Amino acid sequence: MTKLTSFIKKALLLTSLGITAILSMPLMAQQLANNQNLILGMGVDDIRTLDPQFSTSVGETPIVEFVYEGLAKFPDGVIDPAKIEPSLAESWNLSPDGLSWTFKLRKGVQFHGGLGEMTADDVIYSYERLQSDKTGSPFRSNLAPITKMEKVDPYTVRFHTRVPEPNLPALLVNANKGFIMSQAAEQKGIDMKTHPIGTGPFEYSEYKPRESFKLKRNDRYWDGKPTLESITAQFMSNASTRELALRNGDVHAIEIAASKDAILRMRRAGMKVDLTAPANAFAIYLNPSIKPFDNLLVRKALAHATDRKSMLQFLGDEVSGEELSPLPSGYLGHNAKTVQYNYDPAKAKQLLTEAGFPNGFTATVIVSNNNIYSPPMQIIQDQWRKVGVDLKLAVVDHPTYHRQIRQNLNPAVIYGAYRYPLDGNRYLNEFFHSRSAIGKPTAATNFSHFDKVDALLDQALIEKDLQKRIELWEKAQEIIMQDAVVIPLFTRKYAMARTPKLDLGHPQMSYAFYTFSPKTRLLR
Amino acid sequence: MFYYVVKRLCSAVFIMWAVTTLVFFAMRLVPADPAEVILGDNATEESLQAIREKTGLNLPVLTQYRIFMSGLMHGDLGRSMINNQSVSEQIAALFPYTLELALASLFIGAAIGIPLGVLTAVRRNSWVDYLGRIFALSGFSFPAFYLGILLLLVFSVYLQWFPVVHTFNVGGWVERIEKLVLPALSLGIIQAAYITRLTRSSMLEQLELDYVRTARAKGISESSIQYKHVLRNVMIPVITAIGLYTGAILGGAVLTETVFNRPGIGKLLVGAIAQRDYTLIQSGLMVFALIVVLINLLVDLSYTLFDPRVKYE
Repeated sequence: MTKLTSFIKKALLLTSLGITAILSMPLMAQQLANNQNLILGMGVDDIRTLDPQFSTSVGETPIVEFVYEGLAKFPDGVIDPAKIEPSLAESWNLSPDGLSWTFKLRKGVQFHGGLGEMTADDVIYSYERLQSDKTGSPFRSNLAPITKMEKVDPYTVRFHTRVPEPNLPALLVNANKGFIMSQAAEQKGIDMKTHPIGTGPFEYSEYKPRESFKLKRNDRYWDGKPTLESITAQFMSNASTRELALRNGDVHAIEIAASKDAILRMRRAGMKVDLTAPANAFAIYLNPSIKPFDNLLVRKALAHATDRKSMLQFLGDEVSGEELSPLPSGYLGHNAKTVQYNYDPAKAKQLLTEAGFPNGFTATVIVSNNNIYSPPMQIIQDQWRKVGVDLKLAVVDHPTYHRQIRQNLNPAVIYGAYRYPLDGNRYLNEFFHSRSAIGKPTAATNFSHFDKVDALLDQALIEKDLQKRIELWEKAQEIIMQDAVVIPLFTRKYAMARTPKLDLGHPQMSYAFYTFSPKTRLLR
Repeated sequence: MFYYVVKRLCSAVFIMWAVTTLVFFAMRLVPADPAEVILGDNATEESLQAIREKTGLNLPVLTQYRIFMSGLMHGDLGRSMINNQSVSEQIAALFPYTLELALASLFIGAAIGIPLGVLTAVRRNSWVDYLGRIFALSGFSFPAFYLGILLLLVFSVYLQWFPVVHTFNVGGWVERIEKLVLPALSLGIIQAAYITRLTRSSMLEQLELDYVRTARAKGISESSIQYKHVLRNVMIPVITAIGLYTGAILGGAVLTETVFNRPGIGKLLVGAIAQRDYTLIQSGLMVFALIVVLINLLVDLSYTLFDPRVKYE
């Protein structure tokens, strides 16, 4: 009897499951749009280059990331070095001495365009190309910890490091330009700037200069055939046109300005808005090589005269967050307990008086006409004016700005930066190590010519113990803040909008633009 | 006339050389070079040097000039320093879009502007005149890009008659014309305002002259005076203005092209300047100079159609 009851129960359960499955099948099929050709509105007039080791523009990098893959990856839509997953490498292991990593490659992965299987030769070719002086990639130092590469067999690569590099797999991801390129593509003379060839879920289809770039589905993709048939990136530099095109259904997803007005407009129009981080962290770097910014009291006064809160109100709380330290929040080693210069105009005036500027002073600051730099700088101008500091803003176009801030012409540089792999190493070295000071052959973005934390940063580079490394970065931040060469401002998230019919297949938490996977689809 | 045309074409060669040379050296005085644009915000001094070596930007300026001019002499406009695309191919691909926009807006401008200008002049101080003048004033006051956004909102977003994206992926002539209507209207309406005002003032001026009084005294009908005699004289300044405006649209419709997301020469050149794409700017402006010279030549030649006294020896 018990057996009979159990049988009946099982039969009923299976029947109900079967009915549910049968009923839901047409429903699921109905959800998919007939047309799986995705159109994106990208905020550029054209691509500069799709060479993955050079591409930097927000309008280009999404295309690059649909085409190329690294040995490791993050879960879809997320940038988090703690959540590394295998990609073109199936597995990896660290030698007992901690100085070499062995990566087992995935077999049978094919390059687009019939250029053959990806092997250890392609991996070594890609990373040697990135590190080569001749290539001239701005990301050359991204794989600096790797000192030697060795092909063990066609599907095994070994990387050697000078000091133990516990996070090496996290460096071999797309976000760190760890893309694997085809050696055969270069041998055949294919122009990587306009004809990218990788192993990713989408491959090159058509490029119309100044108009669009089209990718088609890679039917042989190793991680499953994508649902989308094609992705077309329409070049649409005008923000208003992009918004209208999305509302009109001409495109499915666009970049939008990270401002509360743009977000509100898109939401009112029934669009989904996604705000992502990590994103650019903005700060003002004061330049002590130009008077009176050489005076510590003046720098402290300017820090006290800066009101981050009102800046955040202007930008919108949803898209921006306050930054308190030279290493932004979210980076490993961030120290929020450094000395702080709270907004206090009275104290700022007092410090200026002590510095010998009771009536303030006048300074000319070069600023980019780019709308991510110009509005915050105008707010700063207004705030500093209240304590008697009269900033004359010399507005120049964006390339000119980047030239002139590196020519030591600016007493105060506003700069927004995001540096993978989200730890103190790269960020602090590029902004505060003396070798990165502007004007030097090894210059990066040390606009303050700061040289007081070199020893700490160098020590952190070779420190094996992670906790000790963090402590060194924290100490460096304290010293930097005491010297008041930087006024941390805010992090401004990336903003993008899409039609509700675009089902990403994953939550979009990171990246400057949408990421797509084989699961991404267009719904009716 | 043949020798006149040959002479003008010869002077065009000098103008093109002068424009190219001026632009070549002027661009090198502007801060930031293509290497900095290619590498973006992450550029390091080492990577900049590597790119400058690859693109020849590290060579002395005069050597760069010699190489560029030598290419031009052989009919080679060069390749973009940013994306390595052939400059001549880019210009050839985009020129038809710019030309059709210029011609369509010219057609709209002339079709509205000339009749309206005549009508407002012959019915001076009537309600037709007042309406025409209000139209002309409004046209002056509206920037083309703003009118473009309004047209997009009304006809694309609300009425859904036209697409917002005006690029030319696929489709035949119908789709091409469909995508031309709004951009041409946004430029054409403003052009019509200029032409209305110019035609009206020229017409009023002509109507006061002695030959009109004589014609009236001879008993010629008013319509015959206005359309056979006065309008021919009015056309010379109007044609001159249209020629200048067409030249400006060919290179200067960048805002309209941006708002409607249309490819075009204006957007190409402005984008090239922002990206410091030296080769594209130099060659593109040289071609643009040639087009302007040719338009001016056509305008000058067209004077003979309206005024028999004009002769080119």
